[in-house]
Amino acid sequence: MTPAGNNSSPATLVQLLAWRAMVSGDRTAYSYCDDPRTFGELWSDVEEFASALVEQGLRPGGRVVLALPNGHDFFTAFYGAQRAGAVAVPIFPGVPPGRVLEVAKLCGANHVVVPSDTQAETLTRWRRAAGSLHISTILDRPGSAVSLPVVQAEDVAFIQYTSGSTGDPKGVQLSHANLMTNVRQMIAGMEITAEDRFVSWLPAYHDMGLILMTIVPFFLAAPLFLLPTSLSDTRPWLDAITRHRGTFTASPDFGYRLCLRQVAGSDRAANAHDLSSLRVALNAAEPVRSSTIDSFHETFGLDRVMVAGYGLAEATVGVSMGKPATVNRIDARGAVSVGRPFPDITVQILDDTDRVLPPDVIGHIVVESPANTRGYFQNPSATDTLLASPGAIRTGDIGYLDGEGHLYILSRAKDVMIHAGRTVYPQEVEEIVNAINGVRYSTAIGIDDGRLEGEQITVLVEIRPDAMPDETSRKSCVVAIARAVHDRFGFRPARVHLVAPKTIPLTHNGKLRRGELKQQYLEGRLDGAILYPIRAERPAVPR
Amino acid sequence: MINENGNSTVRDAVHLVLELHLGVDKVETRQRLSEDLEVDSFDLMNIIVVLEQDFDIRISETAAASVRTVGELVSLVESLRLS
Repeated sequence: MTPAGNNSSPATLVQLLAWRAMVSGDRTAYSYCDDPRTFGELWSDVEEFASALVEQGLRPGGRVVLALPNGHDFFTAFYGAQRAGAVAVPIFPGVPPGRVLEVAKLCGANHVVVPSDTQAETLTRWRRAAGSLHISTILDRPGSAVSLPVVQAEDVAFIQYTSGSTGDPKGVQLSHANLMTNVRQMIAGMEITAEDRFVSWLPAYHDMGLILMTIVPFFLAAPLFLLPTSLSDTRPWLDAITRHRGTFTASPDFGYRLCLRQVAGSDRAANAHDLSSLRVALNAAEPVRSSTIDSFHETFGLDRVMVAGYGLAEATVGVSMGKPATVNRIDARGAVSVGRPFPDITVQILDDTDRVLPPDVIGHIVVESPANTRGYFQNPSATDTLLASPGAIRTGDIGYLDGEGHLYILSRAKDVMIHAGRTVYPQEVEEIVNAINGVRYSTAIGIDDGRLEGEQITVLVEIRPDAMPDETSRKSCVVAIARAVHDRFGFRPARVHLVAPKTIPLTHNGKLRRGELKQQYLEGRLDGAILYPIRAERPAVPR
Repeated sequence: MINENGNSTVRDAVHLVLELHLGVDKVETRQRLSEDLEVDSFDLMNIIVVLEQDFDIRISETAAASVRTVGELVSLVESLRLS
């Protein structure tokens, strides 16, 4: 691959945008809340912002943390950092400043970009807390002409943190080549064309929402209608599909379940949305429920539109998807197939000793792809664990391939929790909780009781009872935990239980045995150990 | 969610569920769930699950969707406790 690429085959995201600005500068790149922006406008803003960053001292390979929600700022900053030869580090924008600065420290960034509508006093406070870090907004303009570097295909374009734990951070490094490769794999595998019309509310700062739902349409100059990420109301999403005749949308299973819940029991609500233009409603990033697919089709009068997909940040994003316009394959266990791997991707199922297993035998899923990450940023031991062999990554997920090469996912990496489509490592939650006064240590477990709302995060916290002798102090502790988790992640634990010392089982070398604890909790065996809140009635046992 | 003496009122218990889940020291009857307490749809679902388990009741989707304030949630749980 030549670093320069050519017009029809850009080798980097920067080339892609430059090329789009050149050949289709007047075309709308995307509309955010019905406010359109052309490729020409985007590119000129990107060049200006890149120059401003370079003038502020950003060097090629430097990291730029983006604490930005969906919107124009995000794209200017994401591509601006890359245009400057730097590495964008998009993070969930709802976290408090302290956490943003923590991530900046984690990845050695000297620059953080915050929303341009941040109030002046807030910016001042940010800058005071940030010390030598540059707190920028896309309104920053260069004072003079700056020369920008040539960006190479093997340069890292961005780092996606899948775990922001300070003890074991997992920042997936993705090169421009990785991204362009996966974009082409997904276009071929999902049969996407420039005629497709994308509608997305997914976070642009996170892999599926970013790569599949924005970079793919940019690559094809396919129309993209982007919405704010909102969990409180799914109607704007359905409205946008209806109004713009959307053909391609994507969401984790919970998003579709929320839609169904919000139009439930009302024919009028369902009829208000005409989703007949949809070609693909991708269901991925979370276990796919066949009941969701059936209800979605039935409620909106659709057929063969929702397809299950599979992917992970370490493979850039997309690995496989069911074939569009076909009936989903469902096995005897009720698992929905996530289809065959995309072109250039090989999926193998290995046993515990890394031997390849035959079809229909369950084992560890390993993905070999040119879009695979080179590894986690500054975490060689986690990278070693990730790589099964050069170019092949251990997904940590368990599943099998059927005789025709269709992949089925049966369970995922041990311990990992999925909340609202987001992967959360229990260690990240525990780190936050353990920092709270009076906490000995804690365990976070994901409980899926089969309800609509999916997996909910429950935190069990060992306390020193003498440090918290009464209800008031115990309540304060739970309140502090709920608040701290919300500040960090933007969601709250479903339940927090304070438990007696020595309730949480440890291995002989002091590691938490989360699986065992979860089992005990589900079977109600921990009820006696729960110090707060005390329940009068035995609750129904969640499954 | 009943205190150690088992004699707290439904109101206190519902307030406590909200306070513990939302991470706030005190909720007030008149507070609106989404506007004042920033309860999103996930929070609401969690709260409903906890109330269902602790009070051994079933809260329908329609009933849950109609609740706007802390006071209304208390009344809903009280009415289901009696029925």
